[in-house]
Amino acid sequence: MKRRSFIKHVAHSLAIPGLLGGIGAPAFGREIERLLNLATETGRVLVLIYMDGGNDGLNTVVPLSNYSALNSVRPHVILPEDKLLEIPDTDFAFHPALEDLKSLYTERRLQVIHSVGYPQQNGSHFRSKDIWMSGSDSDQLLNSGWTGRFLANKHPEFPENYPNEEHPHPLAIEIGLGASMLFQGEKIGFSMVLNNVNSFYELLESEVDEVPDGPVGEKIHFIRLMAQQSQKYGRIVKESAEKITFQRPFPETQLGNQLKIVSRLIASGLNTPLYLVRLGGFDTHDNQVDGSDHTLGHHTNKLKELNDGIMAFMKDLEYHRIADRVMGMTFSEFGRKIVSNASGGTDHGAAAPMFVFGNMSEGTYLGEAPRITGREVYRDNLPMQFDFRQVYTSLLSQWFESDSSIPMMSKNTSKRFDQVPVIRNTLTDPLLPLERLDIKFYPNPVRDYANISFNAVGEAKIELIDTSGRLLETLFQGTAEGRPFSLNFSMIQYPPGRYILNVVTGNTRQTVHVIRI
Amino acid sequence: MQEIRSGQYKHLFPKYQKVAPVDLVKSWGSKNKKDQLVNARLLEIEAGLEPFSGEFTDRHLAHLIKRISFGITTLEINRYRSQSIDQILDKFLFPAGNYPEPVNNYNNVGEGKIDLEVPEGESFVLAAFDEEFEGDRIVSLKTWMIGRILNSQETALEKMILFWWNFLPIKLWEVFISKIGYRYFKMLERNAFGNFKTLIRELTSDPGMLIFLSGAFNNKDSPDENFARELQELFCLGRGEGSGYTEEDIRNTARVLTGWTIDWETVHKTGEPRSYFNPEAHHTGDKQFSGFYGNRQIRGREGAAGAEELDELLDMIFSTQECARHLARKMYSFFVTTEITDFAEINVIRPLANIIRQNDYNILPALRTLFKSAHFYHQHIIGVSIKNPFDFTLGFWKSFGLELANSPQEEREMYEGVLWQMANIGMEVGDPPNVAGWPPYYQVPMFDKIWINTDTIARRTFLTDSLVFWGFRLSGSSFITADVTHFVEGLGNPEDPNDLINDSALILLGVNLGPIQFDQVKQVLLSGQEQDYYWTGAWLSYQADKNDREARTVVLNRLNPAFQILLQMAETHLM
Repeated sequence: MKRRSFIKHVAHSLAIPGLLGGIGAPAFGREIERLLNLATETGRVLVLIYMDGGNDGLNTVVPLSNYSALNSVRPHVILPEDKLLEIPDTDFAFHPALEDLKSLYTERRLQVIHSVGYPQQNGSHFRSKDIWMSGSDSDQLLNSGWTGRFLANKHPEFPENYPNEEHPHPLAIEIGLGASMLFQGEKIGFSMVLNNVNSFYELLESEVDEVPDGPVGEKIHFIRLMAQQSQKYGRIVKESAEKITFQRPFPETQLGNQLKIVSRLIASGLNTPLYLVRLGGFDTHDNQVDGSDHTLGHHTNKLKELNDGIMAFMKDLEYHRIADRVMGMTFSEFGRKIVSNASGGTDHGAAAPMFVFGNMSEGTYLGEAPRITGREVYRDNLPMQFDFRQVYTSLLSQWFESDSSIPMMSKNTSKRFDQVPVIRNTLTDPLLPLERLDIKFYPNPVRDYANISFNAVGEAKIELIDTSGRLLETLFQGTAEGRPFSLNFSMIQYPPGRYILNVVTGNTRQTVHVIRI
Repeated sequence: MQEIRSGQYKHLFPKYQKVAPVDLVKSWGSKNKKDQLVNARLLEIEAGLEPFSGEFTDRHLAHLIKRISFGITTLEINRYRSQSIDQILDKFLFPAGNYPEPVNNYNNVGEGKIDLEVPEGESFVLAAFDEEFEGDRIVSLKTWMIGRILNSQETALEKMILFWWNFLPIKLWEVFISKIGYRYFKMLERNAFGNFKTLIRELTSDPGMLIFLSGAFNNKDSPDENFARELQELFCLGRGEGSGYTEEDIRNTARVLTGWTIDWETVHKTGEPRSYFNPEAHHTGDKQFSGFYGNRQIRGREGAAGAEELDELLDMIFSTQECARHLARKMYSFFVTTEITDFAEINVIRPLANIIRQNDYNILPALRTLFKSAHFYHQHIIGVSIKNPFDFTLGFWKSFGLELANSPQEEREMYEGVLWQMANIGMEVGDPPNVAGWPPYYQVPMFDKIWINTDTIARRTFLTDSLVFWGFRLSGSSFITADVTHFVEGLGNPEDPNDLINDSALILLGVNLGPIQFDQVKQVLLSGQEQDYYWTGAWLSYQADKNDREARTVVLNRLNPAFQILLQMAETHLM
């Protein structure tokens, strides 16, 4: 059974707890309680955290397999190895500021997806941000967002006769900036916009920003009040939010303040499925780190803000008993260059890791930590292992159980993005660690021949791809027999250089970076 | 020949009026006490009619042009930046060229609706009354009035016509005779910059006014005081402290006016509609007026000479001090701010009234003095007016250089959506809610704040949002979109995000943005980036190759949301 239909099936079965009890192994007890919780609570929520400016992935999730190589290409920003938060049984570590994210990872409430990007990475903030927000190909020009199109599919009549009995609440809420492209459909915007944190509390208090002194200011005050009261969903949000009188402490930061509002709104029973919040300041061309101590400085502060904000958010969700129906995701328009700048920063790069978090997170990691050889030059970028649209598609499908309304995310209309597991399959796989493909590949670097082996059930496909994403050869396609399945193959015909092996089984895809010498 | 009375065709209005008249006053109910000065801070203005002597900045220039026309364009800023106020007024306070007459653009073959008298594309301003077509002709007349405003360039004429229509209105629907509506419009146009007394004289015997306030049915046997009352209460004197006409004065005014009526044949036949003086219906007795009018007596006359009583009546009314003050107050509340403080009454209204009287009710000298005065350019006045739906909608249209109808035939198709959109936010062209005009210009204590309520502000925002993003629906399947990129290209220094926002605010907003709001717009323009050069780079890339669709998309994806939020600012509704 496909994961998606499986979750759907779970949702439908919730009405008959006896049946579930019949299946139940003892370990299921806690999970069933959770699922029941899910059913009585309102709908599922996805919170998107936009790390604005292009986050340095290599200093966020640090690959450890060749630390000295990493040190040699990015000496100006490298984090000391002994300060890194190592993730057990993996070859990567978290930035020292991400202590809480590490504990979420350990509790299997946070997943690392390595090297997410898109083919033909664009280095412009504006353009790359539009690509991430719109879910387009890099040479496709859109002015609507992927969630905007998702909502447009589900609500073709919006905003006519909205809010209504079936959909009394905003379809999306964003805080910070004005209306982003994310929630723009082709014909209408779908989000309620809180331009800043202040405007939320002003809404609650029926106050507006301070106005200039004098008669002109008096008019501005009046118009702002009218504008506030005219917000289609203003009263609903206000009355809903007023039900929540206690929240656990949040850090007084840009992100903390935004997530505090999001948590409050979710806890208040507001049935809004999508939230966007924004954390700025990741455009770290210089002074990314403190010169004398790389574990300090601007980037550390931003990551700490992220870490503290998410942890406070998770704790508040737990306090309000709503954590099981909330998922979060971080994203940024690009990672940064492998090679660092002498000014203590990094320039615009390409692929970078994403975090997907929440009690229902699949946990662990997807893909593998980037491999650094030490021979990288300025123009080199991390190759992508996952297309960001795979993550979007997976979240929509596995979290919102929506296949039919998954929006088009490529100009090639038949293009489908293979899903990756992001949401835990709670019935079959409640607490056990996920059986991993556990890919073994040797030797690497390859001289002439190589061997790959992994655990697979059923159909598998192995593709050899060059660094620009071109398929060179399908090495294997068919039923992967044996446990582990093993394949010998030749690379004699290929010139020395970097290659990627794409291993696809079921709905998982993993990549292996290969160096041919 | 059949007479037509005001409102006689009420049953037909819903067939044509796609938006039922909006009552903006009702929603405020009685929670607001009368007599309170709403904006006491206006009392801080100490400047009077003395000429403005400060630095005349772009903001001052924009203020002047927005107040005397509709919106402003960057082109106008550039053209008049180095000119004196006098030079600007020489240009603007001048009748404009000829605008083609409204035409039959309402035939609808599909519905079998074909006006046999007026061929398609031909003017209907002389067409015989035809119950079947008057409604359509009036809608066409209204869209023609919108077209005039949108096509007007560097003239105060259209604003003056609106001033007069708000001050001395007829309601086109109530009158329901398109050629009479047109004639009334042309009468106001002809006198727009002229002499107030002449205007009142023409208006008194204008067929439109004779129907609207039923003067046509005022005769010696069955007097109708409707017009006689409004002539004094609303048009010439008002009900201020300085006004003292009595009920008896109204009665006698009505008697003076008996006999002025409409030649109904000219209504029902092709040709210009006419009014005339019918001595047989005239009250020939003497008319005795009160002490307010110096106990003047107007001697009753027989025969054609009875018509002369009207001129004597107007001489009497116009010789009062209050008449000029009333006009001055109307100018002030329309062009300066809706609320008149005691200080403004003494230091602006009274001296302005003196100028009006010194010039025998020629209005231009008074207007010039007002538009050059220190009071007019006081910081409490610049931006203090809430844009009426015309200023908001049509001003935006002109500032952005939105597409215009190519011909009178296209006018209806293009502008009917605008007509009903403006009606929805409180102002239907040619039909103020009543004879007193649009309430925001007189209704104590809310005044122009009446324009804004939770419904109208949402509709205003929907208009700007859709113009920037998805296109505003004009009719059926026809949409119009603001070319934000083109607008920005016209600005002085669009590659600098700060200049871009400030220069746009100058054109579109009544005052500059405060620091919080400015940052909000800039954050959106920069998509959250902290460095200005990210915008500069994106803009220059687009300018370097305008055929580069990617560069254009990048620019548009910044500009559209930035203008969306800019136009959602409260300051957008001010001028």
